[in-house]
Formats: sequence, structure tokens, C-alpha cells
Amino acid sequence: VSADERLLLDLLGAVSNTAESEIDCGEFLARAAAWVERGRTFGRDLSPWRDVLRHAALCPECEEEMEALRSLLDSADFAS
Amino acid sequence: VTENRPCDAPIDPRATRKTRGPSSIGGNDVDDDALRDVVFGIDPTGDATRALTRLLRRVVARMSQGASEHDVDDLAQESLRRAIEAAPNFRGESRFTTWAIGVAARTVLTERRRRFAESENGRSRAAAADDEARALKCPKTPSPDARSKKAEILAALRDGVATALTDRQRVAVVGELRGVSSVALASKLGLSRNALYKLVHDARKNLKRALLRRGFDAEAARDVLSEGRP
Repeated sequence: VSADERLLLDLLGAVSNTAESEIDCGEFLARAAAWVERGRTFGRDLSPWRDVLRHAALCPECEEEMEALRSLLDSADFAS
Repeated sequence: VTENRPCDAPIDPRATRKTRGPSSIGGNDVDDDALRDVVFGIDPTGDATRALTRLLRRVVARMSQGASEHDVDDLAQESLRRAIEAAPNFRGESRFTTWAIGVAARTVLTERRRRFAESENGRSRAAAADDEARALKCPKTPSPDARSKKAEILAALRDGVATALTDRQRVAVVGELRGVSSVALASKLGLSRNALYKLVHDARKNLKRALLRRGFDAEAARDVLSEGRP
């Protein structure tokens, strides 16, 4: 796969995952804490978190920040 | 308890004191609500502000190993400033401390991205992405042997990038896909991070419509993307 094709394939992935309405990075930050804190205990119903998960899939920086938060909360220093 | 609040009304976090209780996160045995009140300017004794600053500093120090004490202090203060600025967005869906740790994590990573954007590697990555965005402005004639569904949809997408996006959208979309940080892109385009996201979101919607006009929906895109995957 050429670099040009890789770019278009990545873009195609992002376009196919695009919704008419999406939360922005500010809204994501507000909701990511709740997702990280409780997401894994909500069982299989991910519908309340669809916007959060879509944003994380489309915004690598927000995903990185959410993973950093998850990692901090998993560490002994910040576990509640 | 019946709430007389419309279901779509924002939650006032200051009205949710009942749910939280003490927080031991980061060794802070200070009430989560008291820490939250700091960002709303309520801290009669100053104890909660000191506790929140300590918590943010611990996050920064953990994420910035090797940084000077001075830099850690600066980033902790910046985290506190950003938490105060973002306080209206806190809706009480999580513990306040979890949210505040998220704000500090974003502050540290944003600073790291800013430093990379100013480095030689960062500038060269941004320049390469700019060149690529400029090249994609010109429609490309599909090669005659491009008859597979994948080749057709990628040609339609490339055409969409050339014709359905503004120059700014093209720079933002290509930059983001090529790993140029939001700090660099937002600064180049004179936008906030949220406005940059909206610019890219609008660009993706334009491309989605451009593909639909050519007969390619999201399912067709997913089919192409799953080609070759087990």
C-alpha cells in the first residue's frame, strides 16, 4: 500500500465513521472521565457512550488523553 | 426524589453534592465536593485549593518524569487554570477528581505536543503534510485499470478531497491523518481545538456526501476497508 493510498484508506475509515452530529474535544473531556470511571461496569450496553467512543475513534489526541487518564487511575498512586 | 428539571437541561454540578463523598485519590483525604468547589471559586479556608493543586502536581510529575520542578509547578498551575476555565463543562457524571486528573493529563500532553510541533521533526512533519494537502488539491485522472471497487471509491474520495473541501479543511484533514498535532494545526489556522475539530468534522461530512453522490455509502466504504482482513 503506497503512502497516498494509506492516507486515503485512513480518510475513508474516518469518513465512514462520521455522524451528522458529533461531540467536540471539550465535550469529550467532560464525558471521558465518566466513561473511564464507570464504562467497564456498564455491561454490554454501550449506547449511552456512542458519542464518546466515536469521538475517541476519530480523534487520536483525545484517545491518547483518555488512555493516559485510564492508566493514571489504574496506578496505585491515583486509584480511589 | 423527583427532579423538576427538563431531561435535556444541563446538570448543575454544584447541586450534586449528595452523591460524592470523600476522595482518597492521590492521597487527598479531602472531600471530592470541596475540591470541586475550588474551580467554582468556593474555598473559604484555602485548604481545598492546596489539596487540588497537590493532586494536579502529582499527575503532572508522574506524566513528566525528568522535567524540572519549575516546569512541573508551571504545568500544575496551568492545569488548575484550565480546570477553572472548563468547570462549567463538568456535569457531575464522574467524581470531580477523576475529571480533574483528566484535565491535567490533557494539559501535560498538549504541552508535549506543543514542544514537538516546535521541534525540527515537528516542523518537517507539518511541512510534509502541507505539501501533501496541496498536491491533493488537484483532481487526478483515475488510471484506466482502476476498475476494482476499492480503486473506484478511493478515486471518488480523492476527487472529493480536491473539489469538496476548502483549502483550510484539506490542510486540517491531511495534517491530522499525518500526525500533525492539534496544537500545530490550530495555531496555523488560528482556531481553538474545538473549532479545529468542527472544521475537520464538516470536512468529513462534505466527503461523505461527495461519496454518496457517486453511489458509495458507509457500507461500501466498510466493505473496502475490510478487504484483506481475516
